[in-house]
Order: sequence, then structure tokens, then C-alpha cells
Amino acid sequence: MNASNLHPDAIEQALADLSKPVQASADASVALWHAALRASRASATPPRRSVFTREIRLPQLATIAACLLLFLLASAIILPSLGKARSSARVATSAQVASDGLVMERTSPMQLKMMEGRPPPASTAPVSSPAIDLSPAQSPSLTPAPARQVVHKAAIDLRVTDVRGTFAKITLLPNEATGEYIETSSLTGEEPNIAASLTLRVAASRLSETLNALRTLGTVISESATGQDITDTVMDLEARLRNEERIEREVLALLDKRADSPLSEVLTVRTQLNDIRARIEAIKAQRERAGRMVALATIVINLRSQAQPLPVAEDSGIADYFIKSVSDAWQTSLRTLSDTAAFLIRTFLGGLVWWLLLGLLALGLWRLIRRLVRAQSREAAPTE
Amino acid sequence: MSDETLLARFAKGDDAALAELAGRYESSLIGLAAGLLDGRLDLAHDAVQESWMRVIKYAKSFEGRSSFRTWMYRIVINRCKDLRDRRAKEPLADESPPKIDESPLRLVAEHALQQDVRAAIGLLPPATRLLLLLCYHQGLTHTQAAQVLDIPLGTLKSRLAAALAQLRESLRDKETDHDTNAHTP
Repeated sequence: MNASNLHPDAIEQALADLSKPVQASADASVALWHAALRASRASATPPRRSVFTREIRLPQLATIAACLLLFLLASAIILPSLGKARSSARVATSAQVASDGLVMERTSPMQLKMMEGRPPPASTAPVSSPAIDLSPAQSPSLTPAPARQVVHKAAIDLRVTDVRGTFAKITLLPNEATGEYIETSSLTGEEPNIAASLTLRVAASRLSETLNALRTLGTVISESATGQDITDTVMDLEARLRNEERIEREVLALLDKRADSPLSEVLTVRTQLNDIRARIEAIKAQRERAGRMVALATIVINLRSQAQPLPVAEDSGIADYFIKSVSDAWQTSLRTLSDTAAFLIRTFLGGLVWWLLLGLLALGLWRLIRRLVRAQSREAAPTE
Repeated sequence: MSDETLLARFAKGDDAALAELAGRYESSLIGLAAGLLDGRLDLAHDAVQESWMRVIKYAKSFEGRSSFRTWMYRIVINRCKDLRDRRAKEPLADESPPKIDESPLRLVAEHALQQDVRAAIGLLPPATRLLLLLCYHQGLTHTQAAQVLDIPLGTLKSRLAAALAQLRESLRDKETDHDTNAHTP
């Protein structure tokens, strides 16, 4: 090739030559259009109107139907059984608690002591957990309603004329005969700046009554009450306890059966038995602690003299206000972030099985759609 | 008689109308298909025959939104693309088609520049190659090529200028390499 060959006309001519007409055949019987006509008539089928009627054949339909059926069956079987299992677990726990005498409010050692020789009056039934008491007389048939275990806490700030006198009156409110007691108490300062603080543990059923009594002792500055549901914790403890006890029985049975085993093996099994028993004791202790928390409500009382001026918030400047606002915003945003992360984890892990199923289904559908689209692009009428 | 009228007649069962259309376009279409398929006449024949089959199949549904010529060229171009894709996936291990540029007769007959242009155009992107071949195809004006590509005429011209510059550059590079090799002892 020389330089003259790169003349534009030469290039254009070469380009034109690349696609210059080529005669197929002068004979009509072997011409391409004729061959195409024969081939078309040989395989003439009525035009299909829809992509779906054209491409989805019986095996594909059967696959789709099977997938959908599987999904529906899984939904119909797994979801209710999960719910039933959860309900029956609650009922079983309640029934086990009732039948084994493990009702927290009534049978923890401390409560047994406090109830000793004094049957609880009807009014002292735990108001916080109406479904806990599953005695046959009160609850002839077991219902799936969960036995709620709620820890009650309350706080009250009072302004009184006589702090010392009121303090003394409050110390008389707990009924020691029923296990109620004063957890902490303090009396600080001199008149008129005297202040007192008490923490009472009273029966959950008497919380409302005790608060009413406190309100009559002075002017209520502020009051708050909270209830923390620890039903899940208690159920978990019960389940762990039953499991450990069953393991203990099995290990004991094993020990009995293999009495003639080598000493080293017996010692190993005994060590494991000791571990199991230690765990059982720890769980029982936790269960009793939870029972005490539920049985006795906590009331925090702050007493202040009427003559003592209320603490006045310092008149902070705009800088303090700004810092406080930023701090609040920071805390709120962290809480929101935590909530979001928890939600994502709950959604992802909780629905892992369903995500997998949905993923498989989506994959199948995607492949099917891709096949359809390809077939459509091959078969669709050419655009004009 | 216009192409569209002939197609309508064929749709009503007149095979002679199709023969008339084929007489007008078939050789041009084979030439274009051969250009798009690297000079492979066998593949070009396949592409054009498949295109006729589609014309036959969809003749009744042709609505005249474009001219028959534009429609036909688009079908052929799409068939060529499909064939290239298919061949890219299935290597031609057992096939031994007569490539035009490998045929001794054509090698003798073809000018050296044409071979160089064919080689250079083969290195261009598919869209650029299609543009060049369509624009210099004897059966089409630039306006018709723009209609086939569904782009405005101005766009076609600017793209053509760029494509030609690219082609010339490629050819110039090739020439430089050629001269360098020739002078190397």
C-alpha cells in the first residue's frame, strides 16, 4: 500500500466494495427468498399472540405451579406451627410453673416465708400478673394467654411540712409480716433544709394502695411509675432449668448403668454432674431473684421540706442551650442508629429462611423472564 | 409499483410480488450482510434467508410506519448481529466456509487497499463498522441509512466523519508499520 491509496476516494471506493451487491442465484428455485418461502410454508404455524402462551410450556408451568404451591404450603404449615409452638411453650411453662409450685409470686422461698401461716387475702392477689395464678379453682382450663411477669417501680417526690414526722410515718407503711421492707432510707440536713429519701419494697398488689397513702402525706411534686415485663426472661429460665434437670437425670442414669466403669470415667461424669448442678443452682437463684422482683414493687420516695426552696435551674446562656441541644441530638441519633441496626438484624436474621426462599423464587423467575425476553427478542416482529 | 404495494400483494398470497421484491433487494442485502459478517458469504446467505423468512412471517403485520426498504435493512442488520453473537458463542470448529478474502481468486482480484480497509474496519467497534458499511452501501442514500439506524441525518454525518477519521488513522498506522517493516534489514 502506498500513500496514494489513502486518498479519500480510494477509501470510499474500498468501503463501497466491501458491501457491494452479490448475486445469490439467477435461478428462482435456489434463490434465498424462494428457499425462505418454502421453509416458512413447511413450518407454518399459526402466529402466537402472547409471549406467555408462546413460551411457557407445560413443564415450565408445572415448575412455577410447584414453586408457588411449595411457598404456600410452607407459609400455611410453618407459620401457624411456629405460632402454636410459641403459644404451647407459654402454656406449658405456665402449667409447669403451676403444677410444680413454681409460681414466682407465691412459692419463692422468701415468699413462702412471708406467706407462712397467713393465707393471702383475695385483694392481695398479684394485680400485675392476672394469668399467673393458674389454680384449678380460678382457672379450670388452660388458656394460651401468657403469664405476664411484670416488675413494678414507682417514684414520688413530696413536699411536706414535717419531714421527720412524715419519714417516720412512711417507715410504718411496709407490712413486714408479708415480707415488705424498707430497702434504703436516709435523712439528711437540718431544719429547714432537711430532706429524706426512702426506698420501699411492698407487695405488687399493694403498690397502688401504698402510693395513695403516700399522696396524703404531703404535696406531690412529681410522680412516676414503670412496669418492666420479664416474662420472657422467666420462661427462658424455666426452660433452661428443665433442660439442665433432664440432663442431670440422664447423667445419673448413665452413672447407675455404668457402675463398673473405670474410675477415671466415673470421675469425669461426676465432674460433669457437678457442673450441671452448679448451673441448676445458678438458674434457680436467678429465678428466685426474678420472683422477688415481680412479687415486690419498688417505691422511691423523696421528701423535702415545704420551707426549702425548690432547686431552680440555672439560667444558662445560649451556649449551654446549644451544647445541651447537640448532646440531646447526639444521644437521640445514637439511639435511632441502634434501633435501626437492631431492626435490620432482626429483619435479616429473623427472616433468613424466608429470604432464602424468596431469593430462590426470584432467581427462578428472573431466569424464566430472561428466557422469555430472549425468546421474544428472537421471535418478535421486527421493528419498522 | 412500490415496495409496500408489493408486500401487501404478497401478504394476500401473491408469491410473484415477493420475487419482485427479492429482485430489487436481495443482491444488495447479501452484499451488506457479507460486509457485516467479515466477508463470509455463507453466513451472509444465511442471514438474508432468515430475513426473508421473517418478512414472510410478518408481512401481514407490516403497518407501514417506515418504508419497506428501511424495515428490510433493519431485519438484515439484526440477523447479522444475531449470527455474529451466535458464532462468537459457538466457535466454528467444524465449519470451513469459503471466506472471500481467503479465496485465492479474490486475493488475486482484490485490491490491496480493500484488504487493508477490510482489516481496519474489522478492528472498529460494531456500531462504527455498521455506520461505515451502510453509508457506503450502494443500495442506500445517507438519508435512508439514517432511517435504518433511526438517527437524524446530521448525527449520521457527524458520526460518519468521525468514523472515517478513525479508519484513516488506523490505515495510516498500518502503513507506517508496513514501511517500518519494509526498511528493516
